[in-house]
Amino acid sequence: MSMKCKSFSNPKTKASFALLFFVGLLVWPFLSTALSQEARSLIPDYRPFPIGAIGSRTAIWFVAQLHLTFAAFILGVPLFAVIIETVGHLTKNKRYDKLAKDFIRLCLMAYSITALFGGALLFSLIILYPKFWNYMVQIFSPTMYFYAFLLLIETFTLYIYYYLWDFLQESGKERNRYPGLGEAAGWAFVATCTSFIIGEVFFSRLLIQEIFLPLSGSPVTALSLFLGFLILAAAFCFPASRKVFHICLGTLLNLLGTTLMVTANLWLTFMTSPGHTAYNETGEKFTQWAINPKTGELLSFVTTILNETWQPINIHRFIANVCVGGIIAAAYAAFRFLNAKTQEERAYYDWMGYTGNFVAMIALIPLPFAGYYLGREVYAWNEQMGVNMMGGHFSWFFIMQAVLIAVMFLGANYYLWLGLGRIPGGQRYMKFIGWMELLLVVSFLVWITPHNPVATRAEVVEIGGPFHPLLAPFGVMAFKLTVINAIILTTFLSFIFYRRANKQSLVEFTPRGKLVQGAGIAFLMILVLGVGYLDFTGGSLSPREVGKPMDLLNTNMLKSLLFLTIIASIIINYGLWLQAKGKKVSQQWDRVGITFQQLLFAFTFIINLWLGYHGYLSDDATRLNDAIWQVVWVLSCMVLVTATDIFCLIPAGSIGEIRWGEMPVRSQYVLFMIAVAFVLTMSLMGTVRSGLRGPWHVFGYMKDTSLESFHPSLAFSSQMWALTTFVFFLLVALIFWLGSLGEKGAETGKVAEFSETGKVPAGASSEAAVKTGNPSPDSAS
Amino acid sequence: MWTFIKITTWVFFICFLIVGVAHWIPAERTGPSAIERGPIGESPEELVKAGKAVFFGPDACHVCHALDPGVPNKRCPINMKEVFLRASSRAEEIKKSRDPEMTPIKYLVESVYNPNAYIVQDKKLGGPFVKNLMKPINGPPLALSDQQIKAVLTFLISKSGTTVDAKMIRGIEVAQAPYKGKEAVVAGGEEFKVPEGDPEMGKDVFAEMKCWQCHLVRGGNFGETQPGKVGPELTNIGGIQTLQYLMESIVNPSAVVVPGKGYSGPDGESKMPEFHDIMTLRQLVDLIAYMKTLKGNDREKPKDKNLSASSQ
Repeated sequence: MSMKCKSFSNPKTKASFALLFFVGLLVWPFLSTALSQEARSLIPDYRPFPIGAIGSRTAIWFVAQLHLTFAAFILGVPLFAVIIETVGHLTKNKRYDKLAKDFIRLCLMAYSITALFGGALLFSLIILYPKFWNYMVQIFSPTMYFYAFLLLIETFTLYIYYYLWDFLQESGKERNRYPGLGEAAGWAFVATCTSFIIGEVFFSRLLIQEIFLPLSGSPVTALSLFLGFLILAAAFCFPASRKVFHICLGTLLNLLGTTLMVTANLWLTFMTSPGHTAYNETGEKFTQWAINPKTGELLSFVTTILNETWQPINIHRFIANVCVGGIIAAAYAAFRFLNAKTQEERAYYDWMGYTGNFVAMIALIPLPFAGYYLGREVYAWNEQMGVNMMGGHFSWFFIMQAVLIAVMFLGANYYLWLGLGRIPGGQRYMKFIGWMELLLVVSFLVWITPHNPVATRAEVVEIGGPFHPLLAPFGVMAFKLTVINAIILTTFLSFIFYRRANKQSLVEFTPRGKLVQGAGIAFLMILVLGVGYLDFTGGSLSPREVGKPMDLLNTNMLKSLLFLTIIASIIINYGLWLQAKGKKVSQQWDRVGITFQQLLFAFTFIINLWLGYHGYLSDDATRLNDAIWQVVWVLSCMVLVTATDIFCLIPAGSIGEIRWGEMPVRSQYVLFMIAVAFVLTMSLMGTVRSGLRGPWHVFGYMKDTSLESFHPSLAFSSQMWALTTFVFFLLVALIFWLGSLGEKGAETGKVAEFSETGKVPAGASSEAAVKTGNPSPDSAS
Repeated sequence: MWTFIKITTWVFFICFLIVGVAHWIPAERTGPSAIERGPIGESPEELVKAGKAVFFGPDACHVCHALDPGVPNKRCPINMKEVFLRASSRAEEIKKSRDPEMTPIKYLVESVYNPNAYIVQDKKLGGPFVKNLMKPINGPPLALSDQQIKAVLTFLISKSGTTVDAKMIRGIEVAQAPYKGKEAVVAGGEEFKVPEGDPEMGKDVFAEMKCWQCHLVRGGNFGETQPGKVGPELTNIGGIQTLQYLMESIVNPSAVVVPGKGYSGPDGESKMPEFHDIMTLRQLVDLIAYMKTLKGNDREKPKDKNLSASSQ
């Protein structure tokens, strides 16, 4: 008896019992309904949810959304945790290793509850929508076995990855005759798995068509070869480098997790688009159905996989998962920061929060582009579905999305600006914040402007149409894309300021060379406007003339300019590198580098505006081309400016170390705000994605004939988003609290280790930090 | 604990704020009304009432079509209040040129079951409309029943000021007859149910008729001398073409000839010979059944797909 009591007093046992209790609580209503229905021999189309006031649809919505949010977290965290671990291994910096382990610990705690909600979702589908689920099983049962098998393997891999973390540290006692070869085998393992992850997410269709289908005759041989290679590589690696072996495990975990995600995506995208568009020889578009839309009979399993929205959803979710993982980890750190008792603890969690937020922002930037791709495929599959999405019932949902994205970007910028205050030298960039804020606010106002305002019929008549004469242009995609690009560029600029804040560069970013830079910018503007004037209009700026489609010459012009910019970047970076190596090629290289960065920023802002304006006046095809070039320039600008910045700052001295832990308390609430906004956005877009099907379970074949087939109102939907988000954060808090019960002792050691290994004089003065002469802890950026 | 309460309050406040903004925007829950779900009566009044419910139903006609006077037009530049009047004038034109039996009601019925049947070319009205933008309303996403379509048309006719009587409703039913209970029309084609054939026998026909001399089928093993350059390659034809199209291409090769690829002679007609006198119907059916199995590459898209996809 005493033993039992003793074991129950163990915090981990308590945690397990608490989880079991939750499982029971959530699953019981579904099981009880199933039992009461057991007597029925005939499978009904639908069964009612036991609590009538809630209803089947709302119940499924709640469970599915929580499952998806937790799943995004546990799939996203390992992706960047293994990258941080690798950075830690390569730079021999233990702090990164500890951070990565901390992230995975969070993931481990959230894992059970994800499975719990997954089970609840499965039960609720089986019980509440039996006919639909029966059909899905008929089509997808092979992939469901595959999914269950993978889930099992993934669970074991996660446990091994986490619990062998300390065991697989480099002990220095590894014995291997060819350590280099063993380590190379390990990296080959990592590279293979990474390639596969990238392939299955970003090139899903290509992978199926060009690799899996040609292998259809010998899948066992191919799989054996693949697994054989991985096992052999791992076997070679283990005796040579335990740490690399551990990184291999982490990469394998990500491969399994990503494969699980794309498999589940297959089911849900099939419901929206059970087929894809194709073109016959005469160029006529037709729908290649995976099923017979009349009978539901499976026509081609390959087509179910290649369905129209599968690949874009894979990409969108993959990136969003990283974002969620990062921002929830940052919110966790913020919570611990606010609860911290010592300066060391604050320093550690400040750094953890910054890193999590940094990861989230890096992932957030390409997310809108992935969203546009998904939207394009929705239109390609069914134009009316696209019209309903952007112009029908869901158009106002997108305005809400714009508001939430605005909150996220404003929050991210504000956090970075607050961060400048704890960096010696950061004050130099404070003077730009007002201007950047203005630009962000103006962009956001355009971003959230609807194409047609909320108005009564009388107001519509008074305005002279459903569109406001002045504001309506800001509601169309050409301008929306332009301002989101401006927002992304401004956020990137904030990050560049943050990065340079404590660097004593030879040339300051702003005060020097104003004349040269001004002249350069003026020249660039004349160049762009002049060339644009001639190319786009053929001599006229009248909208009618401007509206002609962009021809090959214009595309070539943009290509050539980009090519020349890349060449210039390479030359400048080479000069900067030579200078950093001590070869005095010229003292002006820093100035050249910074001027190049400024010109590129200015040019990208201008070309972005110009292409937006041009796209607005042009036809659809031209607008698409313009939009692509806007994105290409923004991404190129970010890559090239970052590259030049790295080379510019190689020889730069440090004004002082970052004073980790000295962030204002409100900054931590900002992290929470970003996290909440992101989870709300996930819920919101989940509503839209699911609602796109309209009154269909499986679009085109199986109609939702239940009494609960409806498009929820924006107001009701917002209540569901808020509820699921709030419950999600409560559960996160609960599981993190349960998980931390037994780790209080370890916590002290970890923080102390951060302080020792990073030697960050938390809360110390910048002068003291300079004296330590240690590298800056923000080198992760 | 105090921190936990503060953060919980903060999270709650943000959620509450978003809910507040969402409540401020006047959007309604939409779903099939009781009228749409239930059986529709046959009297003009019942049909008009049900038609109105369908027209303003979730993601239905009203998303693209304006109806009331004073409300500006949406995606479709014709106000639906005038649609019956326009149908009358268009029917007169078509009566003279193409179909002597055309009536305004028949015109309306065909326009909803097959929206590509009569694409408006009048630029003053914003035409030509984008082909395929509107889907047949008896197919997804709306998939209205024949009775619901009848109700919508009755409602639209009534909105134009015309009195709807039993004769008019009967006219709609007559015009609906060719479409009733059938699948939605796809891409402007007319439905023709092709009988089931034997692909194995079809392969023999392909060899026997020496189709392979002009058409390449990779992996078909039709002999070493298979040049397959005169006609289009058929390796993937089953993945991208319908049975109807394949049958038409054999029976009437000149119906659709891809220009610029050398498939046609100097007279513009297809180079493919006629098989009317040497091929039996059974062989034809088997042959296209075989061709439908040719799916060398399941997903074929032209390079300009992006443009097409975004053009909406």
